[in-house]
Amino acid sequence: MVHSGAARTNAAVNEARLALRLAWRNLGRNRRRSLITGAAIAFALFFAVILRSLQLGVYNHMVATVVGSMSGYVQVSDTAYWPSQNLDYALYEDPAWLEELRANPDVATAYPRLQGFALLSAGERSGVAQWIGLSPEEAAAPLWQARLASGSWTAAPGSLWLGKRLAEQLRVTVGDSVVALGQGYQGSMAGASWVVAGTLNLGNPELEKRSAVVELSEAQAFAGAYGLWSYVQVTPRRIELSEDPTGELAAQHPLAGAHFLGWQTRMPELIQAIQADSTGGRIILFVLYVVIGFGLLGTMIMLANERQREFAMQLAMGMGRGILAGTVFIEVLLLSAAGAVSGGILGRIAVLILDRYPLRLQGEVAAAMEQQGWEPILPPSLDPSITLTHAGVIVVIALVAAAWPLRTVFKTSPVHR
Amino acid sequence: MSAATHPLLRVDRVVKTYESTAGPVHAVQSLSFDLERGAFAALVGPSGCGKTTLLNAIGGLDRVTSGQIWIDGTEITALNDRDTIEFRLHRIGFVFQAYNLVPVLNAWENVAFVLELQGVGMKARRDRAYELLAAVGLTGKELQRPSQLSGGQQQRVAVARALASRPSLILADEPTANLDSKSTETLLDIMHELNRQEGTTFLFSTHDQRVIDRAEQLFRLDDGKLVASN
Ligand SMILES: Nc1ncnc2c1ncn2[C@@H]1O[C@H](COP(=O)(O)OP(=O)(O)O)[C@@H](O)[C@H]1O
Ligand SMILES: [Mg+2]
Repeated sequence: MVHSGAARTNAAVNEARLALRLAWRNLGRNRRRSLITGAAIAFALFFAVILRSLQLGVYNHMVATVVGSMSGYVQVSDTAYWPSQNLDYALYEDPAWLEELRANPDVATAYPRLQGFALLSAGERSGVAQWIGLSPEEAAAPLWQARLASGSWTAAPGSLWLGKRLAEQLRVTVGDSVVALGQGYQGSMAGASWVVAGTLNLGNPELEKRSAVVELSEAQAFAGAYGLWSYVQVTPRRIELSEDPTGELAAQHPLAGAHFLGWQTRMPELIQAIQADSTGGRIILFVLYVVIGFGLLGTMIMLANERQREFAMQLAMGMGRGILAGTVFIEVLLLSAAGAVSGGILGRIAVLILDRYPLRLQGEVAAAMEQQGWEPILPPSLDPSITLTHAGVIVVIALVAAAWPLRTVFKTSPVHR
Repeated sequence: MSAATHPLLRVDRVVKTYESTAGPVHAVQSLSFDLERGAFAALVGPSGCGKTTLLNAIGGLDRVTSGQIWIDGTEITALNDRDTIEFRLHRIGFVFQAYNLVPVLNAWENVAFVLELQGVGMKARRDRAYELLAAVGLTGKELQRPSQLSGGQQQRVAVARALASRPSLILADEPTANLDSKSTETLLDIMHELNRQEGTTFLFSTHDQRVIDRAEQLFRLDDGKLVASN
């Protein structure tokens, strides 16, 4: 039996088309079952996307609250600055380098700061405060503008802004004087008299009790740290948990004697808490996927049993097992892809709605969150990789379940009885 | 065997023994016969006498335990799996008792199924399918799915399909077993007509007397052995 190469090629093309046609039509064969199976896949993905987006969104929210505005997502500091945060380990100002860093499209903002500790006193009262020297650009940014509880952001020299609770503790209001004493750069004595220009809402009661803000040049003069920065606070453009641009930025913008530290490195306990919680979420999804997986397997077993005689007949006719298997594989792929696409789209829409109108917590939990300085909302993560990852997972599960009918194809004998 | 003189089908001392948990089952026991080109022959005998086993072996669907089967000069019992499939695809037409058709393909697509696997182009296979559906009296039913056809009509589609690639031999295992007498009559008329017109060789099995009466040649089986032929 000699069949020409052309005939073989035609046969292969025909077979591929036939497999596609059969797969497509088989989907419509038991419409209700296809619909239910597709809907199950869609629902599972919908649920997974919402669950995971909310969970990761809460972490983002948490991280944003804890590090976003204060210590920063990424800090560039002298290699010895962390963890002592000693004023002596400061960086020399490098405006050219800072310009370049700010020009990086992955960088949203980069602000230099000088930071240290001082004893603040007003009359009989005193308290230890962490003073932060903010650059004028940073103070002018909407974030700090919005934090003003009273007073104003004036450019007048000697101005001081106090955390709301610290002001209460010192019993001072706008216009009052505060004396600051502390250790300056390299063991020098630091002293100044500042005038309260405003008080600040910092979201977190702890921060409000111990923070004082002055202008960067004021801070440098106070500490005798002329031309020095403690660190540069960097906010990357992408702040999803799954992304840590620290290493990349460090490679692109090296600064002698300095290193880049992500919040993940500076606050290992925060990342550990997130990871522990995230594992819980993963387990829930795992259970969901196991349930869906067995459901799909049941459907696949039914499908295989129903078609066994048909498989035998097709094999007897001379259809190759590979093509027959391909037919089943394509059918399951189409079905799961349809489910995944619809579930993914619906999940994405739901996430966008939740982003627009975030779930707001009520009662004790909300109160506890507010105490911690977090707005009591559950904003979802908008990271599209969540949808893509879980769509991929569910399609793979469906294809694994398809192993059953594929096995049937390879086990079925063309013998008819 | 020279091409001019050999019979279309030669079954030579074929043995098929199934191994079952209850011991070996001797389904076909050293059976031999020849079938000439253009025959319209029936394998007859009671249920369990080995008809299906023999047809499966002739069609290359199942392996024999020993013996040889030649079709049109090719010893199919000597072919490897791949060549057996190729041989089936091009040289043998099958009609089964049931589950003959692909449910999601319409009548003409079912008829063209084998042609499609062979790589025949769209237009050629549709023309051939329509022509054959006309020959089996199903003009107008070309676009119907099997579920929209009666049992007799489905078997006629199966016969049309078996003929589609102009095979040397058509094997039909109890093709009328599920049909009423009128449909049986019609199907046999059609098969016989095609046998006469196109010279296609038919070998079918049956235990139905009405079908036996229509065969031109009979091979009577009992307990896996050939007991009579004419
Ligand atoms: N796969 C098998 N395993 C064991 N025995 C079988 C198998 N197939 C058929 N048989 C036995 O072989 C004999 C012949 O069966 P079969 O060829 O189906 O007869 P018929 O088609 O004439 O009714 C019967 O005894 C049957 O039980
Ligand atoms: Mg039988």
